[in-house]
Amino acid sequence: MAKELTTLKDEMNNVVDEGTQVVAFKLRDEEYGISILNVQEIRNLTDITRVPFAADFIKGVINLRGSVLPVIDLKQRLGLEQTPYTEKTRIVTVTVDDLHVGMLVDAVTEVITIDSKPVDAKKAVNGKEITRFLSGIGNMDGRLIIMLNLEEIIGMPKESK
Amino acid sequence: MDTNQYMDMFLDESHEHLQQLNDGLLSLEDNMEDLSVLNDIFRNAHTLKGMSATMGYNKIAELTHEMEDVLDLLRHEQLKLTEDIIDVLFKCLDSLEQMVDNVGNGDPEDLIDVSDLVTKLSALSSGNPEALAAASEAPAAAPAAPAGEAAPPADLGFELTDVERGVIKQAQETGLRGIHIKVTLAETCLLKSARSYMVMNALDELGDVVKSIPPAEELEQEKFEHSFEVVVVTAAEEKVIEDAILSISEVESAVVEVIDLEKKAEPAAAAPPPAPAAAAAPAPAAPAPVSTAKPAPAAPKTAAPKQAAAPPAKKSHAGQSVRVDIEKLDTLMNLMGELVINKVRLEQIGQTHRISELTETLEQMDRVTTDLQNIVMKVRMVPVSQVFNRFPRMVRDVAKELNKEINLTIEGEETELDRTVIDEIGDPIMHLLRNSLDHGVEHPDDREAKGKPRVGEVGLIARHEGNNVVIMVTDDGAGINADKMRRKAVEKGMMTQEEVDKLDDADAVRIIFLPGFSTAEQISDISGRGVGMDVVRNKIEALSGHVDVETHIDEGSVFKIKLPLTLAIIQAMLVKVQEEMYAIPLGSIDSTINIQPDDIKTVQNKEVIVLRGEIIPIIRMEQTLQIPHVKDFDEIFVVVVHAGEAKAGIVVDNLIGQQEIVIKTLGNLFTGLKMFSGATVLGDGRVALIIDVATMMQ
Repeated sequence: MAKELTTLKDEMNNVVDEGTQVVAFKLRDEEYGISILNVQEIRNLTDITRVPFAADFIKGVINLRGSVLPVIDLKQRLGLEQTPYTEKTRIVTVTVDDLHVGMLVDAVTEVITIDSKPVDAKKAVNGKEITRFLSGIGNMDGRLIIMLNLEEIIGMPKESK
Repeated sequence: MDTNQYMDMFLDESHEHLQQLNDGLLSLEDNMEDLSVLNDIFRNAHTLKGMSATMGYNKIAELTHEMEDVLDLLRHEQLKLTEDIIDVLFKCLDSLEQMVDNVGNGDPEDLIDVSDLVTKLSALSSGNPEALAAASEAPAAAPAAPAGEAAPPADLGFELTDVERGVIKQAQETGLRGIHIKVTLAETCLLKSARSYMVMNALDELGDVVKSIPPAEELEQEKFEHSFEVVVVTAAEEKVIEDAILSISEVESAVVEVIDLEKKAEPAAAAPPPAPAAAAAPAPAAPAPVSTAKPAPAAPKTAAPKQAAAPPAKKSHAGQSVRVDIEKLDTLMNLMGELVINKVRLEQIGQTHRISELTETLEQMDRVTTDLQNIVMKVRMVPVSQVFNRFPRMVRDVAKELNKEINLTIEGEETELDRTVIDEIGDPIMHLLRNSLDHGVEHPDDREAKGKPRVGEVGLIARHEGNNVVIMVTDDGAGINADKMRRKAVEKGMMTQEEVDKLDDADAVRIIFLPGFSTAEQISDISGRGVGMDVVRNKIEALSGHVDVETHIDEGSVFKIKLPLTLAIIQAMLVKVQEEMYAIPLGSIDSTINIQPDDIKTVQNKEVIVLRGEIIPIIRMEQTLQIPHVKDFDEIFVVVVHAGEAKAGIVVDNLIGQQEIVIKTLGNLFTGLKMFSGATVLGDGRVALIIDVATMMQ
């Protein structure tokens, strides 16, 4: 069972296939998605404690039921323009390779099932720097859901200098 | 047999036995006349042999077997104990340790060539000129020979009831036979009940089990020594039965005997009343009579009573402790931490809303959580003897190598420290000891010339000191010459002449802890590669500890390590800088003072304060941590901290108070961030970072 889950997880990280459930959320006007298997929970915005000298996209740490969880600003990580926090701002906590991280998103929209095979991001978007964070783009009758490559986004402790 | 699941147990216990062997040999070396130790050593070797053979590690078994032969001769005084023999035995232990380690790492055990040792041992056990050849035959053969001869089947120590006898008689009429089997399990068998169950199962397949001594329930509860008896009726041949039983692992021997009812009837008939009583008694009764009736297979007669008495005593002791996965303890500690956080939170709510009933209940809860916390902490505590006990051997080896005479005294080995700390302090202590042996204690001749006893005294002392544990490595050697330290520091370009002249003697001696320093005239294998002391200091400071040295010329030196009891929950001072809250470990704080802005002076453009005549540099946290400036404060609070001997004043805007905090790691995303030793969750649910004072002062 556990093994099944991990292989499933691996699949989700790299390729998102038809029938995959994703948590969809907004960053500015664009809609993004990550596999539901990586998502632990979705929380309202709480006090974030700033950590001096950390990488700029790391907003700080929060208290997640007694343990300390780093929070990253996803927009900043993806190089998108900053917008102020609103009451819709959420922290999506995800787990990738035993690393727990919270990600700030503008709003969580829904959990949806991708019903057609997503397009490879490299084919759809120009620019190497951007595509390394993306794993594919799901097209749901014209509604585009950009699938994120979580490993690239948070699996980079080297950069946090 | 799938032995993987027993691997951890095997490794743990092998190390334990090797440690005991080491200890035994050391005390034997001290007092070669004391042969009583030999029995213990022999028993340990024997157990080790059994265990490794069971696990299929034949090389280990072979080597221990040879050791056992030599030990056996020694304890029967058929071989004279010499230093050479002890050296060979020590070498065997080293090889064994390596082999066990190899096995633990998943490597084959035979990476190490032990044939040389084996030859040496067998030469020792057989090559003795006196009529030892014949004598050595007997003990050597003893372990191999099963209990068969020791417990001759002719006078079977069991009785049959009328019913049982009837069953056998009936069976005989139908062409079956009643068979009595005595099964002896390996002394090292860990799962006696499982093995006995397997034996019973095997016998069930071959026939019907009529009776077992002790009864099946007691077999299940392991209420037997190493052997038990079974009566079955079966058509199978004795050989078939014997093979079936011997195919089960950890069965040492099986003695199969056809029951002759006529013969058995006689003694039973002659004294019917006492017989059943006698039969009932040996089985469940204390192990002593059982083992005297059937001596342990490998135990020669002289040692039999002692051996029989020792194992039960040991067993009762082992029953009082449980092996727990360290991860479970960590989880327990984490949960405990959360409980403490929530308790503090409730206390704050009670105080803000002035609910007296809540406060009262909380006071009681406080007591309970404090007790609980203490116990959880205690569970994680391990006596330092776990680290200390490997040093006597090391000291002996190093002393021999250096041709020095050393007497190591260990004190306070029962002092307990957190598991996390224990795992880390082994190497630093080893460094310190080596340093004392190599540089501290002088050569015996030099000592004599100075009018000191030839034998150098080295001490390893652990004791509690408040919320700390202090470990000291002492020697009565030459001491450290402060002038020599100053000279070396200048020679190596670590400091200028003016700098060293400013140092008092105590500080000059502390140069020893600076990176790249080594005073050894000659680079030796043992220490003095210039990596020793600063590595020790780094390691200890990484554990939030502190190391210092005190020395007197020609009287000796004392290296003192001070360590916190635990690293999980600490007392800290919460401070506020602008809108941000930080925690400073109380252990690093000297005092807190309230000053006016113009109390801050400058020395060469560096800000300092003068506190009781002492000039202390100050650190403005707001600037150091780039904290956003929101408002101005009239008053300035300074937290005076220390790291090692250095002091600094940290300027903060407000002191919130002293509090117990639970240290949480910041996680992988923040590796390389040395300024903070972790974070903690405050009573109001917010997170505060814990300042690493030593880093901040750099």
